[in-house]
Amino acid sequence: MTWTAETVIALAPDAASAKAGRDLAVRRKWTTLGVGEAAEGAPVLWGACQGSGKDPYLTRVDTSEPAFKCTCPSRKFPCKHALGLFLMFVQSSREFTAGQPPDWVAEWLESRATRAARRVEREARADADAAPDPAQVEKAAKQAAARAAERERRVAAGVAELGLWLRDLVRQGLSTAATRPASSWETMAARLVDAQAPGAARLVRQMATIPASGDGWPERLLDRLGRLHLLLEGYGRIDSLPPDLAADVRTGLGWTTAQEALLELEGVRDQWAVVGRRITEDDRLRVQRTWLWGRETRRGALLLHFAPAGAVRSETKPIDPTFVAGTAFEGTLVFFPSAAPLRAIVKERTGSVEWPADLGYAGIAEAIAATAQSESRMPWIESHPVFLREAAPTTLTPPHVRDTAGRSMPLSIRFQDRWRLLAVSGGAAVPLFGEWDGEALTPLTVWGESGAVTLA
Amino acid sequence: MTSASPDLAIWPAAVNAALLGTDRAPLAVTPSEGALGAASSALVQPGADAASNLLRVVAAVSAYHRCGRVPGRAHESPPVACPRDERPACTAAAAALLRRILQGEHESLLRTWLVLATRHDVRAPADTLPIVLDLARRDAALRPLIRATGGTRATWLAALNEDWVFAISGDSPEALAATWETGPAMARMEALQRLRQLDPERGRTLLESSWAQEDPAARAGFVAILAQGLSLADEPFLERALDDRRKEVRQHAAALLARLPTSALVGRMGTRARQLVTLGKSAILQKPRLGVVPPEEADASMVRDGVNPKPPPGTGVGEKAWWLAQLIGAVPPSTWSAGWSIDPEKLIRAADGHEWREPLVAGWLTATERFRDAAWARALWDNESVARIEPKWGAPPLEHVFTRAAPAEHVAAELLREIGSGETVLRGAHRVLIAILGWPNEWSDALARAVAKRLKEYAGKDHVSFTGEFGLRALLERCAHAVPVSAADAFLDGWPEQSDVWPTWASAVDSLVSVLRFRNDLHLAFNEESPA
Repeated sequence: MTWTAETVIALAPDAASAKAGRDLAVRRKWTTLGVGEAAEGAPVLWGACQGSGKDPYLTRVDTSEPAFKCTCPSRKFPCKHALGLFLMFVQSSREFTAGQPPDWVAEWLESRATRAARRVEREARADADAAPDPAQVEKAAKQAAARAAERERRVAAGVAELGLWLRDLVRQGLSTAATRPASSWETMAARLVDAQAPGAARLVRQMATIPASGDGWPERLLDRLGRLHLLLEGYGRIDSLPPDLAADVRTGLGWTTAQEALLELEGVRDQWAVVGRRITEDDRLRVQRTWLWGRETRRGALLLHFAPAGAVRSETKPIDPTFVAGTAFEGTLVFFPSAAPLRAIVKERTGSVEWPADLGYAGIAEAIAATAQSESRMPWIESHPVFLREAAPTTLTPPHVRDTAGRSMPLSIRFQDRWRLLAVSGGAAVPLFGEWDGEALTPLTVWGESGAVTLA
Repeated sequence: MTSASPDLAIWPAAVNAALLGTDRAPLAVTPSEGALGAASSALVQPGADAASNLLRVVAAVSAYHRCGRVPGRAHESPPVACPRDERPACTAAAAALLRRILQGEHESLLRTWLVLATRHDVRAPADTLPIVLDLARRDAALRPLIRATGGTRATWLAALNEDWVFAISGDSPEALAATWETGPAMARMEALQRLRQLDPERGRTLLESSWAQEDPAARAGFVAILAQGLSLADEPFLERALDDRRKEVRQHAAALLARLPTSALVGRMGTRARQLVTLGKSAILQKPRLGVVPPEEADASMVRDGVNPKPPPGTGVGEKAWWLAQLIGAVPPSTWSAGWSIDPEKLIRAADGHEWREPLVAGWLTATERFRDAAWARALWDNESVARIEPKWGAPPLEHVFTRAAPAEHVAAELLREIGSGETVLRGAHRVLIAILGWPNEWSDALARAVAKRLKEYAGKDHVSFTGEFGLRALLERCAHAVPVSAADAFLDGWPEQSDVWPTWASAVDSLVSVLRFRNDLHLAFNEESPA
């Protein structure tokens, strides 16, 4: 891909790093600046930056992945030196001397190449092992089957225990449940994690806060209980469900789908518009949710990218910054199996295209009908993509958006950016994308005269 | 989720059973309740326990709800959309820089951004307005700028959020007058302020017409606003305010009248002062000699005209000297030089060694700044040994008087000459350093380059550590905003980074360079002429 100052800066782990990186993107700061060619033909950059210490920091950037390495002690990743070096390159590549990488760069490239080769070798060996030694294959398959069977057993036990727990809950009454400490929900959730059903654990944790969520909590809690119960019942008869719905049940309980296997499948080719992006972070994980909308397929798709939370120094890749709301690309997505597929991975990205016209729903009625239809096929969807071509935010409290037909949709009470939404719309009907949880809309992107604006 | 539909009567029943607990209130489903009721009763298995039955029904009904949702109707009329703004939007590059500023990068340049946008008459992007309005709420100096660049969108937004009322007025005298009549207190202050810029006469007339109804506590603030667009036309009103019941109002009115050289108040002060100070000649050398008879008392009429009768306690300043300084401070200094046809320089020298030197100089400093007398400003600056007095006299410092009252080109040339003249000028409390730091103007290209050269020489001296020089840090910070973009290059490179004391300079120079580069980007983004 072609890197620009914007995409490089988007790699920064926080705003302070972005600024520090920009300040380091000056010739004066670097005693050496070099560029060479990596194996795949993408430039490799290196530089020596004089910091406050005696020895300069040695910084390396492989622009292909991208990958970074620096001798500075910073725990940020990528560090300001790597950002500064990269930025310097996209802004004034003339300052870089082309040549053979010095030893400290070559060694890094080599070690990364070795690791990659080992990975390929491992995979190849797995493949190769398959052919010549049927006994080995059989053994491996047996082991895998045994592991899978063990997990099934544990999940089944967890599901049974959860069923019992739920029945106890309604037997004693939700009023009693409301007086329980939050830890009682957490205990159940932890047992489900132990039972290798993290999806079910998450649903239990989500319920814990509902009794304290104000008016209407019994209805909301009951709705959640209903969904969870449906999931458990579905698991009880999973063998008789259609394959897609069975996949939804397994995903709901916490099984994951191997992406490598998905990439083998045939995908859905279309022009995909990036309509929204949101990064959430808990104590372990940073998750980037990127919503796409297909021009011909007229459907939403969700990409998830994960990175370790916080400023953890690691060799992992930063969260992909190249899906920018308001841009569109031609490419192929593969959807995860589901009765109402939403989550997808990108199999191929051919290139950027113009923003497609007439994306999204004409009005709120159409949006509600579409989400209800998805819900009827797949009752555990937590957030639906809703792209309204024309929606005007209202000025009353509680806030809503309304369409030109006079239909309205309430905004989530957790939505913080109401004033920016109003400012961009100017009270007029504008394109708006958000996540709809069945009760309220959380706007993620609004389009004003200067294009897409990401909302917090 | 409730509804009159008989089908849905099952839901409240389920909620009720779940709340109380099926041990106490098992869910009863009667088959008569429509299709959903029928489906639900099919789910109730006679053999199963009440809790399982309830959960099954709840699962079915809640899914039924979600799939059968209908869109809500808007109960309010659509919002009144914002009127179109005919001015062009700023460039995408300028918008991106503004967003970076608002994310905390070089926050001090927000003002610069708004000034540039105002100068080019372009709009700030709509998505930035809420943050800019919040910042302007805390910093009144930004308000006129946001009113100018925020355009109709900012006005429209401000009408929806009472925190932003200061931006409501728009920018026409009519809109401002309407805000004055009916707006909330803060918006009225803003409106009067802006009106005094656009149409001072109308602003004062509005204030006069509602003066009797105004909250006495707010009056002093309103009078102070008249400093904007002050002219002789305001005199009758201010003269009446000298008899107001509130001391703050009287003080503000007197201070404003004292700034009008031909006001009656200045005339009265002149009459008093001329009776006290006379010019003669020394018997032998025929040099000018100042005769001074200090006032005997601060009478009621003097106090009415703004004379503060009490000298600051504990300073040793005598009452008579204190009154004398104030009287001279309220008289245009040209009263003396032109009245007696004598150079300011000679008069200042005549005060040298004089028994009343300090009150004379204090008065001249005050009056020179107040009436922006260029000749006196230069004369005082050139006679520092006479014109330097202690702060206890309450007069503005010499550097301040010089940079405010002397013509900008003269200040620039003088500062340039002095900064080039010796290396000690960058040390501690030297007057060039103080003058440069206090001078609000953007520097000339030549001055900026001279400062850069000096700073670099200084940073290269092995024995001078930056951390010990407080003034230097302030000077570097001032450079970041005062250096014209055309001279920014003089600060970007060529620092003595090999010097032993460089590490003490490095971070301050880095942040200076960072601001200057950002300012350069700003100018480019507004299509200003790029520096050579």
